Amino acid sequence: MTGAQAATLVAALVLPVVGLLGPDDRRTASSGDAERRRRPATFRWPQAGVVVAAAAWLALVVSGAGGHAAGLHITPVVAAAGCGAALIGAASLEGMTKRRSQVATCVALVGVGAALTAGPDGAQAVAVVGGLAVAVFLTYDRGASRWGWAGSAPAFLGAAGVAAYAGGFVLLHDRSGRWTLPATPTLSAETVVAFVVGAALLSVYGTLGDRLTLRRGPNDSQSGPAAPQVGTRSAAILLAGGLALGLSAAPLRASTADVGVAAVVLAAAAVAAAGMRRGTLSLALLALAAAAGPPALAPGARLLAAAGVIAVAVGRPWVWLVAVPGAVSLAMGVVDDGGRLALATAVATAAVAVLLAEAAVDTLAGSEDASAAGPSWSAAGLSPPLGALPAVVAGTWLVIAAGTWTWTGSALGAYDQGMARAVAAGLLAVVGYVLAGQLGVGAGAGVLSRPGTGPPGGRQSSGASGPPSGSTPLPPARPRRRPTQLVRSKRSASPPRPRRPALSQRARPRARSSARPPKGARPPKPRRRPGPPEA
Amino acid sequence: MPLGAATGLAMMAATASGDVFAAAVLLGLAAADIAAGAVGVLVGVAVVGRWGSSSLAALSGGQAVVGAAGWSGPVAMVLSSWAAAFAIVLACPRRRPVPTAATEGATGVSLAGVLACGLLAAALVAGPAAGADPAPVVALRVGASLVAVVVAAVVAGACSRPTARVGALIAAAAAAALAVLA
Repeated sequence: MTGAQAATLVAALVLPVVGLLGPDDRRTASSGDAERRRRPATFRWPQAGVVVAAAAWLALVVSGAGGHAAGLHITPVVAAAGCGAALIGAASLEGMTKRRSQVATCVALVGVGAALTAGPDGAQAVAVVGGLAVAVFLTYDRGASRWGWAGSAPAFLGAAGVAAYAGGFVLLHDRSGRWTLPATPTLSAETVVAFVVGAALLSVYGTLGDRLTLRRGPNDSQSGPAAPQVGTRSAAILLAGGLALGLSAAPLRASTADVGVAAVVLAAAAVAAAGMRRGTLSLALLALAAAAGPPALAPGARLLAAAGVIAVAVGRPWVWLVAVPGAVSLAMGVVDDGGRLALATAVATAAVAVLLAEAAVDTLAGSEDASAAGPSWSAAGLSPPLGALPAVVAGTWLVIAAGTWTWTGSALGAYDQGMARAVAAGLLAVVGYVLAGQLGVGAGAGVLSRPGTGPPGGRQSSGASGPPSGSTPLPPARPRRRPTQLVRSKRSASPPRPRRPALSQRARPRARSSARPPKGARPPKPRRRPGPPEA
Repeated sequence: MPLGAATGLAMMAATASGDVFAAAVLLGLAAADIAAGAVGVLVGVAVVGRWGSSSLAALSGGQAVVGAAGWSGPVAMVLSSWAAAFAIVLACPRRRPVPTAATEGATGVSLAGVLACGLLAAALVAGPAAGADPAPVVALRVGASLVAVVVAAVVAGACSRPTARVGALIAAAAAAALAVLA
């Protein structure tokens, strides 16, 4: 590690706390200015500090930092995990108004960073257990939990994850007499399983509030869409830290066959999590399963872990596309390995992909209904919050050029070439479609001329030709429901929502009823549709 | 999104670049249908089973060496390639026209979707990369692409969506089974 890299590492560790030292306009407001104290700050210094820290971690990733200096060590996986944790922290600070919560989130980031990097030549037991314990304690959302056993369950999950890491280090000390992770693959199966289980428990803890559902906001009675309430929980920071330690420990096993059962169990758990619509957790568990599997699956595991971290930071249903490079890399690894364990992981990956796609389509369909005045992303809660924009950029980079993420060890040159061309062609087509609509010619004319629908998208945006000549355009879209919001909520926070059929299954009854009237029946009278108000 | 995905898929198929599983995702997005994505994944398994790689460039290069996939090699592999191409044609995206009083609820043929699926199906059956003498290869690819696009348009206009979905899944599963088990 060069001197510049060491300085960058120290800056990445410290910057989240430095951001807390910035001026707080709510704190500096006069005591009588209650309105100013209530509204959020226009510029968030803590968030800025975390974003700069993420940039510092990114610089370490890009420069391929590795080695140790001044009691700290760094590997590409650790640097990427630090960057991911900072991205999650920036997203979780969005809309966080309490100073105490901001301090807790930033200090938790420092704790995770210390857990990942402290130690002269590898992850050290005291730093890992201490840093993660501090982060769990600080990110445990006591205010939103109920008192009693059920309310404390998340804290127990996080504590159990930290305890699993501690158990792994104890096993490591019993076998080798050292308290730091070795650099060579000499770990016993029990030690690796303890680390992987700890990573899985921390993943569960970090993604507990990541159940994407649609429920009505508190101010539905008001006119207009309510303000977005989506927020990434700061506990999700533990997801990045836990995954990094799990992915670092899993390849250090002495034999792959010893942890095969753990890999199969984790893959099955990933499928179950996808079935419960916990997409981020399913990606994390799948990454751990692939890491515990054959070495050929390691690049796919790292890409899937990166996708999980980005997904939890962005928190929108369309973000699951970031898992595509990981799935492709995993498929390539399965082809290279060809074993039963790799095949089982591939089957689990396919099942997770189908379940996540179904959940995303379902959620997007609900969001489509949620937009009252047309397919507007902001009204439907699909646009990302400002704090998640760095994560969106990282996700876009991952989807288009995953091969440049060299720290994953993947060989996705062919994927990069094709995806870059596909994205360029797709963007050109969409831009041309929109321009044609604005000029009133060709494909997009009918869509954009429809009053009240906003930009093209949604149900009528896939066409390649306009309405037939002489046809009557529909009146402006009517609001079908009250505005709803895309929020992360626990099961108890909202009543169960009946699942909607897929988009492709909803048009069929309408087509039958309108296209083919029953024999012998009189032709129905044309329905009078409310037209636009006359001048 | 469907228009952009279909155009991107057409670009990948026409230039024989990219990954077949990424093409499966684009197909699912273009059709806005999970079944179409599943068909693409099964076709990807068939490609991997025959050519040992999920790269479309490897698919094209392999055909340049051993001959077009539609009539070269073992019978099971040839049948697998034809079944994969047929599955892609059946999974061709439909579009919902701009809602009017006359077209409410109806579905039609998506030009971009037909183009993308036709090009991809042609690449699966007759898509060798150009070698030292590019003229015959270019003629073969252009001809196969034209035929496949026309077939995709006809099938998309003739088959109802549920029928095409079931048929595509069966054909894709058969293609994958033939390529893996043969």
